[in-house]
Amino acid sequence: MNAPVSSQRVEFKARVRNALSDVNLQRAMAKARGGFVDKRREARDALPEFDAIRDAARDIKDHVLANLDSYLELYEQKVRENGGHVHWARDADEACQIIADICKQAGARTVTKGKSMVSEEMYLNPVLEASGIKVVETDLGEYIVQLAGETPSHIIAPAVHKTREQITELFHQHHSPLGYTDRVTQREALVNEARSVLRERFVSADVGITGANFLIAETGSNVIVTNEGNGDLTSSLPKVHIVTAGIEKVIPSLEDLSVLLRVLARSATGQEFSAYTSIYSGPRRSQDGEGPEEYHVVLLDNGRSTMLGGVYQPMLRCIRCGACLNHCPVYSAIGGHSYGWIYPGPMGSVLTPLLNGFDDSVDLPNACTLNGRCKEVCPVRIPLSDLLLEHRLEQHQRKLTSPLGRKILGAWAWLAKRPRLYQGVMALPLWVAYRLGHQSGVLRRLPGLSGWTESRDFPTPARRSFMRQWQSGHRP
Amino acid sequence: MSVVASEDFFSVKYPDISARMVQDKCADIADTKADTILGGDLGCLLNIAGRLRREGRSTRVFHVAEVLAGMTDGPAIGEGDDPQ
Repeated sequence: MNAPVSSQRVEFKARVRNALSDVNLQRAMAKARGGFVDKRREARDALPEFDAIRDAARDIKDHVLANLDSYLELYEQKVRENGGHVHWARDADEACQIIADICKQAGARTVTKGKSMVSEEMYLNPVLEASGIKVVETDLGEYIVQLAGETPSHIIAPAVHKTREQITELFHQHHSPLGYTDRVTQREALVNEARSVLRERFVSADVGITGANFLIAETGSNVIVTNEGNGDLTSSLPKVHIVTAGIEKVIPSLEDLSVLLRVLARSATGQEFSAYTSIYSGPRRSQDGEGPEEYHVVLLDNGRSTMLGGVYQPMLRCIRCGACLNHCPVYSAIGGHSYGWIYPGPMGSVLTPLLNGFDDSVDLPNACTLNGRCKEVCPVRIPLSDLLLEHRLEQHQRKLTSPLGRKILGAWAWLAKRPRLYQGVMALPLWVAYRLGHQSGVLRRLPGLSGWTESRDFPTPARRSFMRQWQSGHRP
Repeated sequence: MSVVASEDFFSVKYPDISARMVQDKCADIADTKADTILGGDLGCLLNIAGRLRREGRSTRVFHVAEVLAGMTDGPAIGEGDDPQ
């Protein structure tokens, strides 16, 4: 039990060290840092009822989660009425198998994909590629990440960790054989080059796979929001459209959608609305000129249903806007890949242990300063930092933390419950620290706390503690 | 004032991340040209004051309560006994 835990810890810390010394990553993150935050603030300030809409959004999600079974059944019924198929997948493997089978039946050689974190969660691309299918990511960020052979480092900005220079090199390397031999460096030129490469892929794709921002129970529709329109080309051009979504994505009605859309884009990118908001309700009907002949929805559980009814249930409200990542100082310092799985930042640190296993993610809930900005900005008011504390408690109870750490915590807790003794015991080290450092005001080294003193001084305590002064009647 | 990494021994458990965060924070503080910084969390204040001192900066750091109690004539955090 102990060995994998400690090796995982080393891995996390090693990833963090690499991230902190990765010049390109740090440049890219520094550039992204302020943008998302400022834009969200402006969008919020321009909508006085923003907080009230957040409450309404939370209530919609809570209502769905309390009645998830009925809404999922209604949704399934409506999709069938529209001529679509619904497939239920207990876990990632089942979901991949279902999708691979649909692709095989369709005789697919090329598959285009809209951005879908759930498909990342199920490791879909390698499974499809193993059966000889060419998979093309069509969201610009996902496309960049796919060319680089990486995974997204942000749930809405997959390539946020890349600098423009790196993208120039990637495009040059992968597009030269296609005839794009010039090295393009300007933002617009890069986008245009990707667009013209992707156009051909869209047209030649046999199957299109998208995620879903929402599933509408009353109409059996899936909703995707994008800024590039790639989701629409992926959904409507190929003869088969497959939607992948977690079971928590269902909401009752279009009316509810209008509430959730008002907080989604504002929280994510600071836009009032994304450039494209598209609602799909099944395959092409006889009177339609265009659209897919087949429409499939693959609903993934993968651990979500075990969160229902427990302390972590609020996490299922998440609408994947990325605001918690954008406002997290730890995420901004170490980037998404340091977290080790698909979902990074605060939402990832809550979800990863639940969906991907507690043992392999011990660091995540701890690598947080509990500053609470994530909870402050969450559009559906998920108490993220409280849930991270919940995880710490659970780690402690499951003995996933280090034995020494637990002993120290236990001793400290015992002492802290005995205030007199606590003051007595603390008096000596505080006095020593005072004597050693009171002239300069700081200690430059502290035995056992080199993690602190390596990069900062330790301010010395006052000659007499607040408690001592208070007890002796001193009042400022 | 926004966020600094020190809560819950974070800086001892993850010194690399914490160091980066407090460096960024102190650079932001320097940019504001403020001569005094106030905060409400002791861990944060120790962290910032410790880093500012290490960088040799003279920015003073107080808890909000010290200001309310009129104690800013005395030493700030990390200034020792002698306010000079």
